[in-house]
Amino acid sequence: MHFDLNYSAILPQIIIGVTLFISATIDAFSSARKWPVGIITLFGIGAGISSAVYLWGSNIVSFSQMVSLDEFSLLLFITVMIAGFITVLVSLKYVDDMEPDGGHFYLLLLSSLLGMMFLVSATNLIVIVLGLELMSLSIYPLVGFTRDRQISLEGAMKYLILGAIATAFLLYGIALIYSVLGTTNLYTIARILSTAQHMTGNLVMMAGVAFILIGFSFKVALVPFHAWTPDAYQGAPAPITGFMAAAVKAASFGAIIKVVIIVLQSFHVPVAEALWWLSAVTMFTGNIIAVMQKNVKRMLAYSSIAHAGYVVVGLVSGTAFGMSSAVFYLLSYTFTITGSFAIITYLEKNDGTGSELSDFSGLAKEHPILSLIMAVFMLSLAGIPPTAGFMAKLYVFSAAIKSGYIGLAIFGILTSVISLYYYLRIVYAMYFEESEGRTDTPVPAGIAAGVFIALWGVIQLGILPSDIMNFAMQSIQSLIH
Amino acid sequence: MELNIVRYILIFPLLGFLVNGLVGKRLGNKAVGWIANSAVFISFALVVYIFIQLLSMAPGSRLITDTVYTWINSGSLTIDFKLMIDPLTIVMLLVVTGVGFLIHIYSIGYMHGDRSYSRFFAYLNLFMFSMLLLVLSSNIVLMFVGWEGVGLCSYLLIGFWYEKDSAANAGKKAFITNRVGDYGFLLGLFLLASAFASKGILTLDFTTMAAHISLISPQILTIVGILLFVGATGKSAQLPLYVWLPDAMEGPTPVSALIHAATMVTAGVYMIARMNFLYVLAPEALEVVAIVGGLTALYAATIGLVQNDIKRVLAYSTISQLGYMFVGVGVGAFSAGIFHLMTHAFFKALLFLGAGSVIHALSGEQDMRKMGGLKNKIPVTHAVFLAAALAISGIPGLSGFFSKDSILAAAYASGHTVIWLLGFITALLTAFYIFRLIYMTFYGESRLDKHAAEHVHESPKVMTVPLIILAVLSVIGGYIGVPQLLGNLVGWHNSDIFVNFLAPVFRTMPKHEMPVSTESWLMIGSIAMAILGVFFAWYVYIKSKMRPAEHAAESLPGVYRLLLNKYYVDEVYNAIIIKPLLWMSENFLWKIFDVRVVDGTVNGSAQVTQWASTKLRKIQTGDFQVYVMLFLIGVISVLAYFVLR
Repeated sequence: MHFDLNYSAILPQIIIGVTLFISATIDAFSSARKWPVGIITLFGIGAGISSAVYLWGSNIVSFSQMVSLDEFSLLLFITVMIAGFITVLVSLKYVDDMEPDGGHFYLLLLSSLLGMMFLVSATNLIVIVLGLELMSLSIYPLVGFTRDRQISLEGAMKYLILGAIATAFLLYGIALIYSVLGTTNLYTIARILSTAQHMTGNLVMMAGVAFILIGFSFKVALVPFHAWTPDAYQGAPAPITGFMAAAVKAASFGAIIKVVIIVLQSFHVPVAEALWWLSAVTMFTGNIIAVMQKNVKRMLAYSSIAHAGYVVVGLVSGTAFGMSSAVFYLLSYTFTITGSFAIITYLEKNDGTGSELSDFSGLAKEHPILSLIMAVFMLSLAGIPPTAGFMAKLYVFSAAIKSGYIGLAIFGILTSVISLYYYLRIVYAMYFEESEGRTDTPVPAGIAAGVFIALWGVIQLGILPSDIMNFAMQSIQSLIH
Repeated sequence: MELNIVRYILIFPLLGFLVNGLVGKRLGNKAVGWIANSAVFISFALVVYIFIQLLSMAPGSRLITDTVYTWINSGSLTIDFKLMIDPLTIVMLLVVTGVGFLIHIYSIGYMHGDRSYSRFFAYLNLFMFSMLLLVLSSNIVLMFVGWEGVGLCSYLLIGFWYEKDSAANAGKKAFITNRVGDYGFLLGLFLLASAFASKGILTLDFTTMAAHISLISPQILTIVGILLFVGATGKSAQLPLYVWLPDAMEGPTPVSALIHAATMVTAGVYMIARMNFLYVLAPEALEVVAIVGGLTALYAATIGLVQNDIKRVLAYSTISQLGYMFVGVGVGAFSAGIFHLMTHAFFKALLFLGAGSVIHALSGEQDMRKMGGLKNKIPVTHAVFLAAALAISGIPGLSGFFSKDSILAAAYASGHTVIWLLGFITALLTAFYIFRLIYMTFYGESRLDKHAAEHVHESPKVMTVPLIILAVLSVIGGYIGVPQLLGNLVGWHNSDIFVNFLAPVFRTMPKHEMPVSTESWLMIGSIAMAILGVFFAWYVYIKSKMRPAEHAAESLPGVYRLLLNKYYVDEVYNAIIIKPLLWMSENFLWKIFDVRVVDGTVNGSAQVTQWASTKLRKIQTGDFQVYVMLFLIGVISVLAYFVLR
């Protein structure tokens, strides 16, 4: 075996890694105010996004077939890095307000980004586990970032322990598959499966696939593997909640698309049926429980559970169009949810309160533009045109309908009608309820910038979706060929 | 030719709307006025630039397009967000942005001190955007977006002073009446789309439709033509849907000038001219257009004879003049119709703005019975008003004369003698009612309130300068369309520049030649009518100090009351349409269908959802053990599913 070390195959990862080192160094030698570290991080992520855009169209497999750089991984790189970029922008002031000497916030965010990027570009199950764990282990401390807040620590702890169980299942699934096929390389697995007969009758293999599906289902919080989500999302600092909902989900879904849908394609029938049920239960439970929530972060946590269900609707069909629509959905959700949490970050107070529904009352009077944008984000989450969320839902549902899953599409649309209630509840509070008196601080520049980037994305994808959808198609094609 | 700056004509008014609408209140009135005016001015400058480009191209190939993006692509139908400029478009663009800009300037003075100043300019910019979109769109679907957009802005601006009940009601009336027309328009659009789709043409681009129109059977074209015209009767206030326009005078006067005289109400005429390729193949539909136009022209002019509110006289005059335009396009003289559209935009905008100046001077008085003798007190307003009145009466040498005469000549030449006669009589009435207005307002004894009389003042420069520019245009605007008959007298070949400029756009109807002597007699006849009308008005209102008018009102009380009450059309509509509808919606739609069926379903499902939410939420206890148990239930179910299936 010869060692092919083509470093351009991991150029974006190298950029993020180098940024991590530079930021760590600056963090070590800087004062208690850590925004300069954030600025360096911003530049690093910006460079990462630029490199991904620059590399668009390349197709490199390297490091003994451990990672591949193709349009699929590039598009997901861009997605998670956009989420990271907006999150860092939003956090510049927040971190310094919350924790003195909190520079590790940026470092952990960068290392989780690095994990995500390896997760989606991996072509070996072992690298997938490494990427997943690097991502998760960096996210746990971020959830508990505010050390003196009990609710944060509780959320982080629950997430950590349940996450460990989920990883155990994933690893066990990999072990089972290895025991049958004797390899962890995705290309080899795909080749063996394409020639082998009766593999779907092999119980060990079936259990392996099921365990892998379970492991990933935990990461994207499909019901009933979702229980950690509300506590972790509510406890985490608002920008991190947005980052988890956007980037962690996008990266984990990337792995699902690559491993479960494409490589394990010969198991499509049981996988699709299981996903059908998971998606239906997830959309239903997430949206129904969100209705009665009084805390907006918790409400959006349940909403994010439901959105994972919608992404799965795109995957159930197993077609290229369905997977592309799922990728489009992830990108659209990334813009919408990071934008929403940017606004919640602005409202959140130092003691962690400020994200109750009543805290939105009368916001429109004091911040007409911010409220209007928040309303746009809520409409996008609810799937109302002309926003990104509408086009995303349109694509996943039409993918399901084209593949004959009409029942699931109708069910999904009905649950999204339910979701309208709680999204509009926020809009109603902002516009029609009286304010209880808010200390009127100006919107920090970082948050404003983050909100406008997110708004641009929501409108762009809502009005001119076809360009982005073409990129999503190309990314899926780069995997299938 | 593809030219990507075309879209900026649209973008600037839209930006103006967004900025003034979102943060206008914080910017202060001065900035708001500047933003709104510069937005429209930039559009106007762009239009002029493109006009020059267009003139430099060969007459047959004058077409500039700008494809912004593919708007709808649903497999069986492709609609681009595409803009198109040909000679017809550029005429409309020049009128809309040019007159629109003047009215924007005027509004700075007129709306001065209004508390919703920024809201007014935001709406006005939004209207400009919608109107420009209507005119620029290269397909009928996008045109409909603009068509609805101007309707919305019209509603918003009529009801601008919404605290006043009459204004809010007038807004609603305009909107609902237009819905009736738009329903027809939509039906026509759907029928057209399905007719083309059945022939394998999956786009509704004007040029594509024009190229393939002969594939569609004449019967369908006739139905489509009539349905689209129903839309036009709503938007352009023709019989029987004209009723909203007089009430629309509740809006601020610049709005009446811009939307309800110069631009929006002419959208119907523009639409028919734009769809000329369809109408020439549907002569029956065109006949309907001409007849409705002719009847409306005469009908509205008779009501205008007795109205006492200065703006209402002008409103009925607008309806009547729009009738002329429909006669023009209806007899196939598309250029003549558009020519009158243009000159009318000049002099009618001027009349409204002048009326606004009078109202401004009299601290809000609109009743002409309480005016009189204003000639020397507001001399500039008087002078420009007189110019506009002479133009609309059709006094030779002014713009209205050329455009109106070319419509009447075309009507007569194409054999529509009855419609010509309607227009001919209307010419007399027009001259009479407009000079009645002049004499009652500016001449004779002052009948002003004491309070008003003390405050009479000429309007500020920001208002009078636009008036003067419009007055110049009203006087000379006709010389780009001098009939060849008159051109020959002074040895001017191709004097009818306007018709020649527009000729490539329009499909020609069979040509009707008319002997020179007939044409001359027709012209002399209409000049005589105009002069006669002015003379009658002078005789009644100046010479005899209104006595004949009172005498006529007393001796023919029935006719007078019929006219004064506008033929009781509002009352008839109220009795036969509005009341039954209200009854049904209250007793069935509301009390039974809405309350029991709809509310029942909605509340019921909401209650079920809340109940389920409350129950399901209890699973999330916060206990870690429960979470793990949930997880394990999931694992077991998935595993069982995979292994046992």
